[in-house]
Amino acid sequence: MAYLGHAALLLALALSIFGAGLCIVGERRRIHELSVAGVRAVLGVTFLIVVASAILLTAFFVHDFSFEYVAGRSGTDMPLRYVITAFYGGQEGSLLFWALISGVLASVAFSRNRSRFPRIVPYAAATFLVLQSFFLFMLTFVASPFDISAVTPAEGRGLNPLLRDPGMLIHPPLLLAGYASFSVPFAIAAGALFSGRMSLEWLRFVRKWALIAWAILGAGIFLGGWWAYRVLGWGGYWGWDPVENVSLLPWLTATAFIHSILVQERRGMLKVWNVGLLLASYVLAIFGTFVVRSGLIQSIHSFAISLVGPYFLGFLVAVTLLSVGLIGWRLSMLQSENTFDAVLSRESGFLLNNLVFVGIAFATFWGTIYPVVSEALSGERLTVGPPFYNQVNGPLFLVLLVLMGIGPLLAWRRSTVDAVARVARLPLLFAVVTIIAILVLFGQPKAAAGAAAAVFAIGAVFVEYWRGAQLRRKNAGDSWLTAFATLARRDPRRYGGYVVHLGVAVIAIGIVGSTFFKSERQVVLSPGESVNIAEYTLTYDRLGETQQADARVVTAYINVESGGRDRGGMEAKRFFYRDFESQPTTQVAVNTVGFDDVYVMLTDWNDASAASLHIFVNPLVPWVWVGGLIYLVGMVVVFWPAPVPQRAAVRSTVPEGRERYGSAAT
Amino acid sequence: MSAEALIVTRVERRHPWRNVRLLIVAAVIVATVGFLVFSAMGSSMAYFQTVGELRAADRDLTGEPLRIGGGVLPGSVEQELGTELRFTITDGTDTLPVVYDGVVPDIFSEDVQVVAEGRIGPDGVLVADTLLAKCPSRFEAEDSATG
Repeated sequence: MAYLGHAALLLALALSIFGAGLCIVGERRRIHELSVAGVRAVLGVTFLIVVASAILLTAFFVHDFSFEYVAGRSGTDMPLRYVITAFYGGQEGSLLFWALISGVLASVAFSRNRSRFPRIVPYAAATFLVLQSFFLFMLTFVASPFDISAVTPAEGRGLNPLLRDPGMLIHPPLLLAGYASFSVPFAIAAGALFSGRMSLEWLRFVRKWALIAWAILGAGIFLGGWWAYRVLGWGGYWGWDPVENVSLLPWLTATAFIHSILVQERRGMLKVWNVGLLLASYVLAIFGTFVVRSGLIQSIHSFAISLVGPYFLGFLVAVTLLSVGLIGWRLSMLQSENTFDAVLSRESGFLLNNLVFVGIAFATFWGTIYPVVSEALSGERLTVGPPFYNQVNGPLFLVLLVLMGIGPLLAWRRSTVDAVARVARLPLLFAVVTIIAILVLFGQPKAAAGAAAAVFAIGAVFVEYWRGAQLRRKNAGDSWLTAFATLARRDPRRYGGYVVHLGVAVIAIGIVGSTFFKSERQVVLSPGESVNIAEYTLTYDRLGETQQADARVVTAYINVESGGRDRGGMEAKRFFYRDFESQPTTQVAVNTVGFDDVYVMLTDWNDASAASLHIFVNPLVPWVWVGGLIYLVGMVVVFWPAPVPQRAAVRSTVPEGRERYGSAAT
Repeated sequence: MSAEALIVTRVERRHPWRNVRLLIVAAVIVATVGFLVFSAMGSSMAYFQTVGELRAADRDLTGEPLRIGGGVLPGSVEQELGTELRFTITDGTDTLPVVYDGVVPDIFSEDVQVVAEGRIGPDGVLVADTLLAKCPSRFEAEDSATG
């Protein structure tokens, strides 16, 4: 079995290199059949990777501990769902997972679009196959998941207990998939640069795949926060740890890209900037993987530091050079067709939003690599902690929220202050009321500013929807409900995008609440004792101990009251997993009362059942999760297939209302 | 006809940045980012050192913000229920006593790699306000056992 898996990967590597060669020769010599065969090679390579993945997964299912990889991270007593988690729970498996995801996405992207972009796709496929060759090389020669151990152990070592959580089922694969999926838009962009064909249609093609990668990575980051909040027990969801930071970097540049690409689509501007952002997103995804795998930067999550680091550094350098080289080579094709006419215009809004996004990315990158930089320059290793990121990125995110509100209200080319003020009147009023209310009630200027910006952005989303629906009601005589539904159906990108904006603003409110109004107490209680925190009274009832298949569980039973009402019981648990007794894991008890999270962690206990509890009251954290759900709904709207006639129109010509200035489109 | 036939021909070169007012706004944003980074650096920078590097330092680092990485010395951990945690951090040769009052990470135990952030008091004890324990490796089973 293991040999079969290894052989499949070797064959995939060979086919990958061969396919890339076919594409390049086919394009250089204009032999159409070779190009077609080369693009098909992507499918073949992906098929072989699917076979290898299936073999590894089967080995996990049947507990074949002759595989070193399987024995190293699973056991017979683990629930099935965690056996599957173990597939991508290690270095080798996660590389295989990367190759699998990018292969599947690329297969779909290239085979569906080959006939539409006969010159771009072969080059894109060639680029992709070269990237894929690197991963296949790693999987066959450096970190193979199909290594066989000399002696087959009777029982596996089990999965690290921290990973035995439902959040871990989806967070790491989504994050990895997010990183991996950036190889598709990267390849499409490189294909366009190589072939020199950068049409308006290509923009829509590359934007769609960038959007998919962006959505997957965003969901991965978000679930990471959710997991950390529920499992790590420090009462927060984001700690500006280097590993978190590097996952944010490609997301930031990709977010900038999906906004500024609209300027290129509409006005033929910012071409170098856009393609630079897109290529940078992939480079940053590789950078993230390299940082995580190489141990370059001290992080609380240092993964297995392994041989993989130097290879990834080489790959990172190669991909960076390729990106810079391609842009430099094609600079003459990337000239702007227009100029910025006014500061107060949609395109300027996008440009400023981009500068802020890139500013946040720069600050985050700088803070993350500063230990390395300072050591190289002065010999002293200096680090910056979370306060650095909060001080820099806090104000910048605030500016972004405001821009998020104003941006959609601005007209293309030129807007007037009067026109903007007219539509922004209501959101602005709400924002002012929010500021005053928070200042009067809590006296917290920073919280007031953050909440007001979020309220303003939410107001702007509603204004945009209302304006659109109003127009439809007038023109088509729709009812309100139909009008709203039609808006989203007719222009899913725009109105789905506004739903995403709404989600972001709701998340922002949650972040403001949980950052500025958090209460925290550490107490030792004997059974029957109570403690007060914020407006809540927590009574510690008793300690219990139970045994489950793979772990011993200690539970503290707590009851919550507020305003004279019983708010329900809570169970804060500690798990002692077999073989990992020295590493107990926490299951935090979270009780959501209204907009507050009462969050209890059992830290220690003694023989007399006295328990040491760490208690947080985190206001508005549920808003963060609800905002995330709204964000996902927005993504669904964006990707919802457009109605058929609309699609036909898009295919044949530039869509209505999207005429482009100054381009010599034929 | 394929969609790519719409090749954009070379357009007369026009500089997109001719708008002076926009340039000013952009410069303000860039300067703001620069200023924020610069000012925040000063207030949140800390030295990251191992115990050995700390001992070997030329300057007296008492009272400076420090971030010390190392292992937990076996047998040094003392904590009664509800009291502060005391332990000794080591790089194998040099040692540094640490006192910490806060959430102790799940995986904190003897021999685990930790990062303690805080300041060294006059008594030579590091008063930590943050304690991070490093997962042996997040996605692997305990590899340190087998290497």
